Amino acid sequence: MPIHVRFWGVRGSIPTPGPSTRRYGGNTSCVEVRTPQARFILDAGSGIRELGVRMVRQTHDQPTTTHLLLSHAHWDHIQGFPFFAPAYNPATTLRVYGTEPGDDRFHRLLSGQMDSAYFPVQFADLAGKIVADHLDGGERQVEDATVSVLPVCHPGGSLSYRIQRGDHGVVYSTDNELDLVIENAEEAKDPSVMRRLPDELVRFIHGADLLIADGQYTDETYPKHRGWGHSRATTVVDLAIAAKVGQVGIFHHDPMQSDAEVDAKINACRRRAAALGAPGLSIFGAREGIELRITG
Amino acid sequence: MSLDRFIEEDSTEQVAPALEDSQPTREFRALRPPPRRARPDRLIQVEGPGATREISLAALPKSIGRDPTIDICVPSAHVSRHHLQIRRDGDDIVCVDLDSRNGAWLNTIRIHAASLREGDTLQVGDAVFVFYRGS
Repeated sequence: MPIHVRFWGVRGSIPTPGPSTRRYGGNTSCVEVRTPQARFILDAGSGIRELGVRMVRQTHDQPTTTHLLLSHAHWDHIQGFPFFAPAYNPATTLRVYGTEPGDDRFHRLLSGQMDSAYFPVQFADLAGKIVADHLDGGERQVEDATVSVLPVCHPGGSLSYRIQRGDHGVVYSTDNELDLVIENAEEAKDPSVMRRLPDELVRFIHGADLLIADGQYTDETYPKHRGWGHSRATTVVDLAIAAKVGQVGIFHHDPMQSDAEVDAKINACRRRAAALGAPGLSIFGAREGIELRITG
Repeated sequence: MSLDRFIEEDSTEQVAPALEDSQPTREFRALRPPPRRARPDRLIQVEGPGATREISLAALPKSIGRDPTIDICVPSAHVSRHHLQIRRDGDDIVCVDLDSRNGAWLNTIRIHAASLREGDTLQVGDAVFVFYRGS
């Protein structure tokens, strides 16, 4: 049975609606991963609002359990939550995961952003059951999938997740500044040299059918934003090749990038893959409204 | 001069002469925009058996496949009998792969489903369609 992956928000930092972003979309981070038994939501950026509308339409008030995995609590990853309609439905159970037993930080932060100073409806008034849960220190079986987590490089910290079911795996790795952890940084200033990334990260991603990865910047725009917590899209290519993934969705597009500029960024990634001897690597720009089916 | 007299004189000057005929003149009719004829959302098949043709998406859903009785028939061995469906989802037009053997490709991505945007290229077997939004 396949895993389905649907993109509801692919933009970084701030929602960017408008004619120049119509094709890729302007909503901030939200990805839905469905296995035959479980529905996971990765991040609660503004894209989660549309997902919520869809869920309400599909479930018709039947009891549902959904698993929410947050990379971190910067605004663009939680700002959609107060507009997530199923949270207002008593038939909803939403499990919000921390990493360790007792780690309820994300549950508390979601609650905090609904303080009356920020939002008119209080967290305690949500009719759905919003429950703090955890990943047993790094890996846990959740219904028919195994979920594992890895901390990555981002100011304040960020978490990458792998959802594995049988032979099929999807990795969600956003807000991760790969360029700060390149191990052969001096040598890799030569663009023909492959950028070597930490073994732990490569192993975490290894063999995934789909890698969804932060590739916010182009080679040209990255230097001005070094240390802001996001990667050059072309460095994601090096990671994907090293980890032997099936395909790569470049994600968390810069809010300054138009559709044409995202196209150009993806083309640069494909050129780099070809130059590094992996012309067959499937690379695409993550885009709102597409759904992939991960099968054998 | 009293204020009343001033107003009376002024308003008299602004009265337009009465038209003898309430029908617009020929010149006026010529300036009217033509009746608006909305163009529906559509696919244009640009490659593969059946190309080139334009397919209106005014009435949905519509399915693409090899089956001769299907809405959009592509007689090709690379196309499943019932390959892909185009349907409306709110304001969006979406395509959904019907578990086809060779899959469906949006631009360069193999997709299960997708909301279509202006200029998207949709590949179904060896048939290629371009999506245009209506006006």
